[in-house]
Amino acid sequence: MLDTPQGGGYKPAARMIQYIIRRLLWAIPVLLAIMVVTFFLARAIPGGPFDFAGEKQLPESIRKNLERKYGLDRPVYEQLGKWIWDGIRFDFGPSYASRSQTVNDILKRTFPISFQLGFLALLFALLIGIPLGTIAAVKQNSPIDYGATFLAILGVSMPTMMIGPLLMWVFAITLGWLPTARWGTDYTQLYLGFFPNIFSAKFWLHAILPAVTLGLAYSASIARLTRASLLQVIREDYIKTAYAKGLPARRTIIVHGLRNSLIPVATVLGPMFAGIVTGSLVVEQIFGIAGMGKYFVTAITNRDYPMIMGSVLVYSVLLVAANIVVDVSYAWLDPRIRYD
Amino acid sequence: MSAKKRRDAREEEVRGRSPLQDAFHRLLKHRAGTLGGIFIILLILVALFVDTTIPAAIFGGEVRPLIAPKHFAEVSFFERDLPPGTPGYPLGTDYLGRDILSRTLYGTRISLSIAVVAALVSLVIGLTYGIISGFAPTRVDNAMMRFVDFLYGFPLIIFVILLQAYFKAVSRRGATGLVGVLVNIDRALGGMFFLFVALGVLNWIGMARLARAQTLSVKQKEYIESARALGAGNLRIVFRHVLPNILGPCIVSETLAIPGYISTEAFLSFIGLGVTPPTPSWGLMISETYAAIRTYPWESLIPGTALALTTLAFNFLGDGLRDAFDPRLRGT
Repeated sequence: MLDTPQGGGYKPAARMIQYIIRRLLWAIPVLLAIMVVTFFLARAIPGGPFDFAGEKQLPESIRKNLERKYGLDRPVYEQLGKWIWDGIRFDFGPSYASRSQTVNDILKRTFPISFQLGFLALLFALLIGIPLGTIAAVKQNSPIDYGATFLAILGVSMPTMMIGPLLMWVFAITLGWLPTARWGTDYTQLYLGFFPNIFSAKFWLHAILPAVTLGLAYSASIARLTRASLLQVIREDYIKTAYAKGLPARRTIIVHGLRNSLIPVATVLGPMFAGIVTGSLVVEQIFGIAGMGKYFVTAITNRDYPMIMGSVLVYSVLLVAANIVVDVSYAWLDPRIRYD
Repeated sequence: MSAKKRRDAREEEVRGRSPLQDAFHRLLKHRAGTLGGIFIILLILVALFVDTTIPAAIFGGEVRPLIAPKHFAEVSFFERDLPPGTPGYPLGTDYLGRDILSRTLYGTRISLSIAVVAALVSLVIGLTYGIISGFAPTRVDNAMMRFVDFLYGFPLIIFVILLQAYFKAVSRRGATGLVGVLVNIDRALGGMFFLFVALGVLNWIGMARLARAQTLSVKQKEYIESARALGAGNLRIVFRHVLPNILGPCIVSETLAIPGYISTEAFLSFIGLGVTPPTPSWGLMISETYAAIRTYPWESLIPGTALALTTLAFNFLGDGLRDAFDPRLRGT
């Protein structure tokens, strides 16, 4: 179980690839189980997709007809089979709530925007969190450290739905520096349907508030973790050795200290990713961003089964993939961890 | 006098304390932890007595509420959106003319019940699962942990959202039999019962892992061996020897998880899948009013501040408890 480099025939790269393949294979039953559970949970919710047209209750016969048209009158196992087949092909057909669009159309339009938001939030969290934690650890017990620690615990405790309105009120309304709402770019302005024009000032002006709102709590918790683990690492013998052989402090901290202290940080990135997904639901609502989150929540209230399925699958693939990436990077950061 | 004090202190030192007392003393020395603890005690008092009224007999006049000036659902159509500082409404009113101070104070009940019940549910399920897994034969242990690993890879929050949608719809529609009883309980609690269930389901996994790891390490100790040699059965060993020794770290980790429960409740209420209006959850209050932030900022910023302060207090307390139970971890 415990391989040592002397163990003979030890090839880290091969092991890593093997490990990644195993994890990817393991993701298949997980995703299938997710589809099955989603199917039954979505169907168990009382009420159907065609009970109402707007505010008005649809006549029984029309409802029956619509349900027949979308195959909702078929036996359960048949529907489940079709549902899973849709999931595998990643083609969910028209959305029940807005029948002129397919679920794929909606996802294609909204997912890039949600992804940009989440990505910028994560980037912000890392770019603020790691340096802040490092400075606090290096200057332990100085006013800088206390200030950073205090800011961090304050940031951790601020819920997204508090930061959002607060930042909006201060920077968009009182100071008027930034726009209050909406994303700075939409589907038609994306390169390859996915990448924003990062040279556009409009994109960044609109992105700052939502991304900071979403990322702030995570930057704070990353700062706390980085500080704590760097403080432990700094006391290790190999850091003393590095100093003793005359390595400059900056290089010692960054090359020898930081890399090792990022291991615990990597472990929380997985749950953090899930938090960013749920946080994006709130942020998109507060800032009126036409992302996936809004469609997901309304799909549930509308019993829009294909849309529920589509967005659950997108979120699940994202989260499962994030977990795999985190585990792999964890092992990469700490070579003592073997892939098994 | 100060010499006497010092002598007392020394005597105290000599007399020896139990590990729990020790931890408590260390907690008292942790300033932020103590502050958080005091704030939480205040919140608990508010939550308990928020609708208590002072009997007319005491002040001789009318029957007066002790803490919250009004009921949380008291609508006043002609006093909508009043700013803080309006006579009679210290923190203003919301879009239905409801007193924000009262609603925020009542909101402590929601957040604290969620904090306590979700923590207890996940503690009980997680501890039971973890200890059983730790004591079970290797094969059973492996199977149980595989299941936990499987769930760990699951995007559980998505399922909690779907589960809540199901609960809410069932609750609106009404049901018979056992589900009907649960629905009635949920209605009586303003939509909180199903939140407890959902949050419990969501959060026992980490606790199960921790409890198993702790059980496995405690199981190796000599005192377990000697208890077994003296003829103690598994149950006795679990309740007399294992549980007391693993409870500390488990409680600490649960306290640190509480801010997560509170914000998950706020999140679910925010997207309309939490408590039932007009139950004054802070998340619901924010979701009802954030759109009007341009004109009535206080309506969302006040419940937001309450939410932030409560989370902060639990974070402080959790940090303090962790340092108190395991001084080696100080500052981490």
